[in-house]
Amino acid sequence: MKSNKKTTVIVIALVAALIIISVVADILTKNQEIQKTDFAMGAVISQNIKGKDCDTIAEEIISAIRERENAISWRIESSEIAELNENKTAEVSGKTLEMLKQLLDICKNSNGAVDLTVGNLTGLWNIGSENFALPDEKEIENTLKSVSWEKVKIKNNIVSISENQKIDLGFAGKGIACDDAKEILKKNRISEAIINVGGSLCLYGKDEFTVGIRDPLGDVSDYMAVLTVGEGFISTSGNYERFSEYQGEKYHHILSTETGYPVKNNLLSVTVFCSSGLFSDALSTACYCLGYEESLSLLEKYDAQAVFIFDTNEVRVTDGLKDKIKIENDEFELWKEN
Amino acid sequence: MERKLITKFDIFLISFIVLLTVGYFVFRSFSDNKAFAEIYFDGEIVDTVNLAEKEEKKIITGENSSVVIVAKDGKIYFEQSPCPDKVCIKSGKLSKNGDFASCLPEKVVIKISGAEGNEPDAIVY
Repeated sequence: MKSNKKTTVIVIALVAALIIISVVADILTKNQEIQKTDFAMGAVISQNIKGKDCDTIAEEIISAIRERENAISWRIESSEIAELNENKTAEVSGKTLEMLKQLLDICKNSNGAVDLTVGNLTGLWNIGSENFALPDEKEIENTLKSVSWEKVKIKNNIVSISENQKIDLGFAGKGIACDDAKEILKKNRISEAIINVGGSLCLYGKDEFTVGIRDPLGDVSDYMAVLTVGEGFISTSGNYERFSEYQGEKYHHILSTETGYPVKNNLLSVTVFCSSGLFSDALSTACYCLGYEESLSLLEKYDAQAVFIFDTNEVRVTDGLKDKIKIENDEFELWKEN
Repeated sequence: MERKLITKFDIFLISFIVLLTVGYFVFRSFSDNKAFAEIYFDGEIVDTVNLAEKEEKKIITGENSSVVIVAKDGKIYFEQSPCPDKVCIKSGKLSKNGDFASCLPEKVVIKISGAEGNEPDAIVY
């Protein structure tokens, strides 16, 4: 009888201990989660990180993004890109060099639909500025001549551009920041994270993320469809993002390198998912400029998937996303193949 | 009386504890998606917090990352802000649908919205 009681006590104690440990472990791991918002690269950056030391890692990520901004923003006088724009030649860091090479690659593959030498044209338009005025037609025509990525020359660490050129990396900056974030997440073995740089996302550490695609006709927090994707990067370019109005006409921020005017086509937005932040961001702009048909081969080159939203409210997706999209707003409908 | 390694009473107790644990995890997974708080910074939505989550959550935002918002026990509130008037902290704890608090100097707003099941993890724009 005595030993019987003993076993009872031991068994109960063991089971209880096991349960307490599992519950405590569950609570502890859950608690290591942070949501943090900052302002950098002219955008709101929000981080949602789960894992050990997530608060220090969030700090590290924001300083990496600021460091990147200080190297590549033409707005920051001391940046490498500002120096290049000013002197038309500059010795750049290894990181900036690697980035420029990737950007030139996409300029080339998109046949200049995105072009990093677009600086003078974006400067002339200055869309989104307080006192926006429609630029003169002749001036647009002249400035457009300076837009030519082929004239960017790289020799060792020395980059040079033409006298009349300026670099503007606005079409890829947020994606580049997402890449920087991922590098830090990976280095620190974070279990799960979503980093949002002004709407471009770095999805890290899960097999399934649900991502809402902003409703191009709705408010900031409205989404019209939900994508289920794995780890990677996702970016959207749309005509609703930044625009100016002048004499009753809307001018959005995606400029055509062919006409020098805001791109006019049947698209409201393009969302691109791929394994690189830089390319997802640049591709979303390029595909918006190129339109659906011409984008397909470009997307394939980068092993990227995309969602095109047309002004008819029809939605076309590339094959890889066909069964991963769910329309949430019934004003929109998936493209029906004939 | 015969000696048994485990008595009926042991089995009863163990199953009771196991059931309790299973109950805890089941409850946790069902307690999701009731009310959620939207946090805005400079007019843009920067975070959505599910208030049904049991665990305490800190959200850091504001002009210089100096506003601290805490979500805890189904309530959300401003804990810290460098603003001079501290109206935001005095607003107290929010939990009901439609509740609203803001820190104007820091351009931060908290808004509670009602149940909206299955929000996506993030929105791309």
